[in-house]
Amino acid sequence: MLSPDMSTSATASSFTSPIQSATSPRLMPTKSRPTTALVFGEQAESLQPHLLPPPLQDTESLSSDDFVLSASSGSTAAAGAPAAAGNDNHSKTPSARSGLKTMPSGSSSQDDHSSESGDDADGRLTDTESEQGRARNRIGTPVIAGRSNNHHHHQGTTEHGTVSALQSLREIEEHDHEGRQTQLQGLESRFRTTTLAAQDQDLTSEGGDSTTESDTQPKSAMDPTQIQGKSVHMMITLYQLKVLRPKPSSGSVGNNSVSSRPKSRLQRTPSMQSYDSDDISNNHGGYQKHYGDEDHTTSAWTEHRKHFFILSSAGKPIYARYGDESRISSYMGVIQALISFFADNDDTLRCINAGEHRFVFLLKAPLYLVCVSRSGESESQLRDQLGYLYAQIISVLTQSQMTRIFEQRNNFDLRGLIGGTEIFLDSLGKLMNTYPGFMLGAIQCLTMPRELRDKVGAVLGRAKCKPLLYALLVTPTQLITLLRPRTHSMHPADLHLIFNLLSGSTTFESSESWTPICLPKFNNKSFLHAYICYIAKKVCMLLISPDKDSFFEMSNVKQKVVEGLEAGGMLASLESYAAAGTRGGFSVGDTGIPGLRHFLYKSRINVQFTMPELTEPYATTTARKRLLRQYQHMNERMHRKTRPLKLLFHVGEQETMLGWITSGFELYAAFGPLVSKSAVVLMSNKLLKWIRKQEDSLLILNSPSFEKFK
Amino acid sequence: MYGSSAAAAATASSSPSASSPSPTSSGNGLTTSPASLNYFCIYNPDFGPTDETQHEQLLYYVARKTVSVDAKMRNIGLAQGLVNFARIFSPTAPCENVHSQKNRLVFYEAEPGYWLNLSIELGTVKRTVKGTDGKPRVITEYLEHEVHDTVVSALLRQAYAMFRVTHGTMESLVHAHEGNTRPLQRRLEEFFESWVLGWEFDRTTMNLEKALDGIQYLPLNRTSYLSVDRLVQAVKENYRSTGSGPVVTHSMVTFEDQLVSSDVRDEDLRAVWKQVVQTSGFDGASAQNYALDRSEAGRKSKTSTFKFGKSWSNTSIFGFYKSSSSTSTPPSTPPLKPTSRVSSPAPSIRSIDGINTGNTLSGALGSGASPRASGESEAGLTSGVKAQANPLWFGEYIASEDVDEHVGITLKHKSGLNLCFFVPVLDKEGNPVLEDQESFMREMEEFIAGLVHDAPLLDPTSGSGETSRSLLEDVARQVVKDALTARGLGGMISNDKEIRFLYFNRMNLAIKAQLGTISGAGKNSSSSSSGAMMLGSEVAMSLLDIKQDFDRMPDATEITTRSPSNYWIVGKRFEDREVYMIVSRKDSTLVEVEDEVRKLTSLYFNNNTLSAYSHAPSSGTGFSSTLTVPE
Repeated sequence: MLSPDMSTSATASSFTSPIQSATSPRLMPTKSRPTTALVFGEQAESLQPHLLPPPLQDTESLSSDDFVLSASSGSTAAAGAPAAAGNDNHSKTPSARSGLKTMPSGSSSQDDHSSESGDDADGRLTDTESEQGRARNRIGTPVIAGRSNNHHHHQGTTEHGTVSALQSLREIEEHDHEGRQTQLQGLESRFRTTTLAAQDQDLTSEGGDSTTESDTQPKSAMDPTQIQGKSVHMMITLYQLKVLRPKPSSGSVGNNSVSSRPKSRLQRTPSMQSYDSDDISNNHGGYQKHYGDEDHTTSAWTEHRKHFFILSSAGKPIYARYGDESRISSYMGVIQALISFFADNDDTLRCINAGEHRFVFLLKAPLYLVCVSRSGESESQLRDQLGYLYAQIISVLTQSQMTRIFEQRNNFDLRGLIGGTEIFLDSLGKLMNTYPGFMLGAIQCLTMPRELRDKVGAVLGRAKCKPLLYALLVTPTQLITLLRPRTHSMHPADLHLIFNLLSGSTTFESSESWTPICLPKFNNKSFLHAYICYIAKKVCMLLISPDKDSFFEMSNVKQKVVEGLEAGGMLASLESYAAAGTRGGFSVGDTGIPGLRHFLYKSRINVQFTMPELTEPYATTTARKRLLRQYQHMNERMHRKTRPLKLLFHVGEQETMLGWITSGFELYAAFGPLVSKSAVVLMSNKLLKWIRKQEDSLLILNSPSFEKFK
Repeated sequence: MYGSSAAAAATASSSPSASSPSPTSSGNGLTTSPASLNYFCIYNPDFGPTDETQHEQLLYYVARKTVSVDAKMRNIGLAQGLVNFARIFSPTAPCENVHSQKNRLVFYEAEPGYWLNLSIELGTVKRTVKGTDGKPRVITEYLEHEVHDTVVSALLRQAYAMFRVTHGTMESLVHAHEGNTRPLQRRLEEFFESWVLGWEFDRTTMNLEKALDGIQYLPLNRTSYLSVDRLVQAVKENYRSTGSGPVVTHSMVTFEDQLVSSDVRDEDLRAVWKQVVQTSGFDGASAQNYALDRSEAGRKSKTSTFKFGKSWSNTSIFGFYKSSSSTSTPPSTPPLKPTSRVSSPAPSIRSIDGINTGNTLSGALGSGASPRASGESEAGLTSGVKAQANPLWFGEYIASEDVDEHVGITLKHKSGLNLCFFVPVLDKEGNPVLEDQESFMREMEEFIAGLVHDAPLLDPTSGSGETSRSLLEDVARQVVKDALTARGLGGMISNDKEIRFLYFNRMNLAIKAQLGTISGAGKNSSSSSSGAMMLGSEVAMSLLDIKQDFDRMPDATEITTRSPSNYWIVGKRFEDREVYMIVSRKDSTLVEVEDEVRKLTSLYFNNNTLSAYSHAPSSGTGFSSTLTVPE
């Protein structure tokens, strides 16, 4: 059997891994635009006999449904619709495609067929050449159904400071129907009635083996009609979807035969992506990873400041931040061997230090997470970051599901199941390089007057409905307000995952979304369901419910809240505070302390932190990163398990830093390099005074619970 | 955390901690055992490229427990795996250490391909808790943070430096025997065997002095310095290169265990200094060296030195003498920590056969058959000559990898002054130059003893009024006087027990420390009531933390920390000079601490210009100024 790499070269394109080519058919439908959403249901039905795999299920069920779907499509393929084999990679796709295809009037569906078959050739190619790639495709993207569509739409022009500018350079925004289709699928999924338990069972019975899907084929016989019928309602909202598809980086640029393709009719489409099979590199779910095509034998690859690797304890690559994880399986093998050597001696490998490089290991069987970094961050900080990556995976799979999968099959290829969520692992990697909340274990709050926050909270509280667990208003990385049951607070780590979800994809900005999410600190064994909707620019509402059928209720809650906010004239001010907050909320000048350059203040009681806008001399990305590294260094030095510190005063060439920890707060402040100690003490005291005065707008001092509004 | 340690406990409690020395129990159900040596090995992967020859990679291996060859090979296999994996991402900086839950692996690539690998079993704290089922369970916590990488890495570097200065490079030893590694293996074994097992890694050994591995300089005033220099230059002038005959290329002057001046290049300075101090017998007071296992290594070195001790001559014609109390008797009683006896491997290498100088030379030339007499091969047993020669390997050129063999001829003066002159064993053409070492030494002694002032040096401060015409005697007198002054002043700099300091000059490796002895358990730095300066091991490790920060953050110039127990630790760096300070006054403020630091740094940093005048960096000490700066 050929390795994926081999197949790549076989197609004479450096970017066509089987996965890629397999993905391509899925993208084809984007060329045909639905003229009306309403046709959707019936047309889909009519198509169903030969092409339509069942619609996608909820994430919980996805893993099982994947198999189901791929099985069905596989059989279809055998029946002469070759597309299926290749397409089953995205089980959601076929359903979406079949639905959408019907929409364009007349001949367009024909076109689709032809183009599909062309793509299918690739699909078959991969089938024969790479079992693994196929397996991955089959079980892949659908997992994340509702969310995976979001993954493709990586927002190049994101305003979240969290997504690096680099990314935007490498991306081309694009609108296509893909996003809408997948989104739709996500929504369809909620009509599934299968319970979580049942799904889990499916999964186990499935055995996770992509080659045995046929066993489960009957399961695929969900009633798509019903689902689609309901989905129709959703189409209206979904229609607005903006889909961004990153451009394949570097080498693939040449493939932009694109220009000759029909231009997307939707706005903001500089050039349309070519969906030729050889054009799509490394792209499960349409998301193009940065440096995804980088050759791991080059120094450009090894020299990245921070690598993240995730592998299964059997040594199977699952994720690599840079490059194609499937190509570095030899490295994964080495890592696995090293880890097992220590394990054989009843020991655990934790960290390797070599020069400025640090190799940090986090063993969370059945997963191993490894970080290779020369960023200067400490071992414990890097391990925390690996922990966040792990939590991100859990949020897609749940702990129990993952454990079960690997109990069933030790060498399961998890990439299939988390396929499409790589974008969130990537964005998490970026967010952790810019957002101090991870290191502080605290949440940043949007700076706004307390009265407004309270009023907004009250509106949220009154909108409560039964299945609502948490209600949040956030800018992508700042909390506006959070309503919770009195008995359940929300762990900052969970909130960070939510922030990452929002900042990792901008798809949410344009529609109502309904996505399953596991919040590991809340309960790592099961999914919650998040209703996500931007109610104003940069103001996102999240309603989290344990009930996966509560989309409409949540949507109603949102409606009520929006009405309430508008009636009180609060929405506009929220929007303006959010806009200000995205820049930083306030500037260090507001403190009236000349000489103070920047600071981080964490209230240990509230687990929240605040910081001013990053202005000169921290206006550039490099300077910001350097400052964050300084903060990280201070933070790590002061929080060592042994030998912690109350105070740390650090003079460097660029700045003088003060770290000060008491039982109530942590303060990290940056001053000019030549400032005297007495001046630092003076300024710090002044700063603390200022913060106390402003505390109720900088922080959320009283997080309301729902009960309050009964 | 709980989960992982509990899991570990299950295994740890089943395996007896046989290798951990002296676990100590305290009343509250805690059992602690200090970190200890697991194994130490030296290997070179180039020597056994195939599976069949793999065992030839192993050059030296020592462990607390006897293990099979297979186990040894597994360990170096792992070591190579780790090193190679790290190299993928860090091609230039090799793997330095590996942390695991229970062990610490430390690597040092001493020469290209030659790796020193040390494995340390971490210390543990075992506590008995009541499990959920009511049964007591033992939870083992591994004290990862009590083994400080900087100290252990420094140990390996120092160990290798000592080996190299007494044996030359490993590569040269292999090369000299046409690729046969046996002689090298034997040398390594001789060198390390008595020493390694005495390596300790408990918390009292984790101190800044070891990590810095500085040299104690004797503060000299300018007049003394010039006198010493005149003496040295006179000798060098007399034995300069004339085309034939021995040439004195380098010199080193020490006073007791302190370095007075030397022109040995920086790379070798520490090791040569240690070797000279050891040769001269004052190493017992050296605070920079590693503690030997008190019982074992102490016994060994006693035995081996005994062979020499009995042949040691204390008679002195020219006023050279060797204080028998401080020299020929190695500590038969456990040395006080941390000022323990130098970890010299030399005693184990010596053999009686090597005493005569001819053998010394031939051994030095690399005849594997003849045991290398690198130690204090007393030259004239019967004739009462007091100079001694020992081969030392060090380089001629700065930053060169090459080292050349020198005969070091040490002349001891009864005052504690030692003059050591180094003569390359081979001349430029590669011919041996020292035909008759013994007579050469005698000749040199006579020459030095015969040196007189060109003009009588009038020392207005000498007080005694008598001026000797002997340059040597005069130099000795001045040096002693300076030493006494320095001692007095040293006490004055900080007789305040609440303020401790350490000064280190990276340029000339000068170190000056008043930190106190590390107490095993103490959490703070306050002195014990006995009056001895004690330093809490937490504080000692906090100092190491600051050093590590300086190493990692080249632009950091000052780091001030305050611990939860309220002592302040300050690290300040100015160019090549570092000062570390502990202020344990609990009520001090940041600003007050700064005042203290300013006072101290004004002593060391502001006098750069004074000490910078000296020609060789090694001869100027940061401390010459302390003599003139008023308190």
